[in-house]
Amino acid sequence: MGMTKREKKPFLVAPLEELIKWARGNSLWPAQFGLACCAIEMMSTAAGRYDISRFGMEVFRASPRQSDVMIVAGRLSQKMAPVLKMVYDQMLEPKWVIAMGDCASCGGIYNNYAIIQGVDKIVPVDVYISGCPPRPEALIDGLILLQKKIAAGGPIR
Amino acid sequence: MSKTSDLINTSLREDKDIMELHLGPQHPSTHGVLCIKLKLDGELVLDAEPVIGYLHTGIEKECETRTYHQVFTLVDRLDYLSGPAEEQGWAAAVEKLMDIKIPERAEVIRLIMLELARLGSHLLWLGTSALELNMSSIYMYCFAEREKILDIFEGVSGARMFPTYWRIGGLSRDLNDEFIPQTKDFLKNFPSIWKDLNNLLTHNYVWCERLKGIGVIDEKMCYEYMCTGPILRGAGVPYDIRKAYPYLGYENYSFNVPTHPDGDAYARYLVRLEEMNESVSLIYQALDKLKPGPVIVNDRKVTMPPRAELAVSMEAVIHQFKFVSEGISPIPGEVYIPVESARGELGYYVVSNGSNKPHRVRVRSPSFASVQVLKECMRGLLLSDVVVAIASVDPILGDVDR
Amino acid sequence: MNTQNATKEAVDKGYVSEVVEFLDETTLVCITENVKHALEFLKKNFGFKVLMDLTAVDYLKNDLDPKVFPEGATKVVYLLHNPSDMSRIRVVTYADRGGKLFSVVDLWPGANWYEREVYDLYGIHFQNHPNLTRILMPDDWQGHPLRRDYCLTEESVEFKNGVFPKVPSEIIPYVKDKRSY
Repeated sequence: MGMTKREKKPFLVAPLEELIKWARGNSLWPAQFGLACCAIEMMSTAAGRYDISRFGMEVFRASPRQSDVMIVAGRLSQKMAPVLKMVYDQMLEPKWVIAMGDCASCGGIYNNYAIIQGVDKIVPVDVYISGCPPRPEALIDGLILLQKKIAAGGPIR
Repeated sequence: MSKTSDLINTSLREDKDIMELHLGPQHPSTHGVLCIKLKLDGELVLDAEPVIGYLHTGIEKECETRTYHQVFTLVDRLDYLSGPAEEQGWAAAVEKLMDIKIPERAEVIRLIMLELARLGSHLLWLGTSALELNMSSIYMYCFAEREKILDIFEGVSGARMFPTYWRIGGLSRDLNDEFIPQTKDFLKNFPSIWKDLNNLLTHNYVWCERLKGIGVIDEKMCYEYMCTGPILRGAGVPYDIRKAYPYLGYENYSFNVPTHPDGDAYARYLVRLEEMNESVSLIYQALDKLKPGPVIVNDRKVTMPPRAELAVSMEAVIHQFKFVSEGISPIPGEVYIPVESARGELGYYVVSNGSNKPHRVRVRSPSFASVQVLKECMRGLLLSDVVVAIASVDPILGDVDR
Repeated sequence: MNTQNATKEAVDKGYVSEVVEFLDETTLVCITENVKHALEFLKKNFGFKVLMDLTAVDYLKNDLDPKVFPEGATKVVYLLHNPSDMSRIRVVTYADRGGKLFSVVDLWPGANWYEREVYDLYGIHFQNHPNLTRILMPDDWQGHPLRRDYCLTEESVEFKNGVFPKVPSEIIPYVKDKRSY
């Protein structure tokens, strides 16, 4: 394929890689994992004023097998943690995780026996969005950051 | 309903294949993380068992380790659709323990915020219920209106959903300049949206067929299972805490309590639709009663002194220091305060032991009873009606699991 | 009015050991053997048809009178509501921590989940309950979280620049008020 140690991208298929990354980033299908208050702001983002349909993400799939990105919105309790892991495992590669809100990123304002201090103790997180709850613009900002991360990401497997 | 009970009896007798399906915690239409264990024969529900606990946050235990003022942020996030109702319950309970009477302007502003929160909650309920029946344009209309309410909250306090605007003894700050014009603007445009929603849904053939006769909760079941709010009013009982145990001056306002005798999902829909109108009329009356004055009580043992006073008075500095580093201490005792939230009776049972942290905070949430009654009202429904039944009792899992 | 009549009758019948009136709320204190009879009596004779709330409050050794409760107690609270004249009454009983009580599921079927919650969070067993299992915590959880001696299980928060890690709930310490009542 013409790939040496000095070249980062394969020589022949480089434009195709760019195309694939662009397509992936602009048509992310979220698997909704709305748990608590942040889910309401996620719903507001999907509504008319802060439209995420312009980013191609209005299709919130119910099934994890049809989705690319899992937006964990809300506080994760002890009983829900195995469910999160199961849903994450059911997603197909390539997959990304956004931890939306303070409770998903680090436990938020709750620091006790019942809340897992950060979703990244269970699944690998790509983008953290802070706020309690984060404004819809903050969620869109996080999604654009994820799109940039996908565009800058490694070679396509 | 005799036809469906015949169906249940025949299917149990003939020993058909009974499938156990978990309408699991991660599901788009369960209004949060509620798991319903269904026993199905084909599409007929033979038994339904709700399982909760997937959002248990330990808020009640956490409240025991915080001072009385720090609890406002924790308690806001219980019923996350109408944060102001929770704040009102907590503030009213502590004010009763400390025997504080809040100023009149604070009462009126609190009432306006509560009714706006109730409107926002009902709009969101209608939007998500319609979305589950695949009527997504209703979702867009309702959320567009709700955004205007959230703009009003943001202008007043800085945060969209959880204003944390209440303080013990009143409110944290006075209204901003745009509050009254924004609210009047919103109220002027709301009746036309209400009329649109009414025309789209109330006599809509698909809506009526899917909602009539589903999830019947009659008066006896309500008393046995402690259901309050739109469920009880949809069963024909005019019980409203704003009339029964008035607070914030509700006895001086004139409003009706809408009821409907049927007890099914359609009756609850009509009750909530009428409640939106009553909220609008209450806000108009409250805006007329708004007079200039202080918004927080002037007792230095209870509230912080204003910042300008800190430059001139040593006592104010000491009061502020004690207030922030230690907090307030009500007399030992227990008190129970009910508040009418959008879902029913929200009760705060506060036990204090004379120290600066509460001994026990118990939130009697209306959704706990509503989710429990689902087991009784879902027998004999089809699988697609289960979604409608859950939506019509309007549970909020943050309140159920706390 | 109804509440006062009910209180007087219940005291006369001997179900109630103490009556507390605080901030115009009436609380009847019963011993654990009598509490179900008191509730049934109030429900049938005075129209307190609705059990609004069933909860518990935990007290350790030093929180209550040590002569009466040497090991502390768990106070189980029943709040009754009369829908015809909107009167309310509270019935409490001091059970042993981890003790047994009779279930009121036969009087009010909706008390099912409330009793499960009290069992889950406080460890009080209710006899004759159809399904006394954990409801809010996972099924294999050890311990009863809302008891006063169950620690909050916080992760200490680290700050930058070598500041000592703090436990958030200790930042403002517990101060017992020194006024006497």
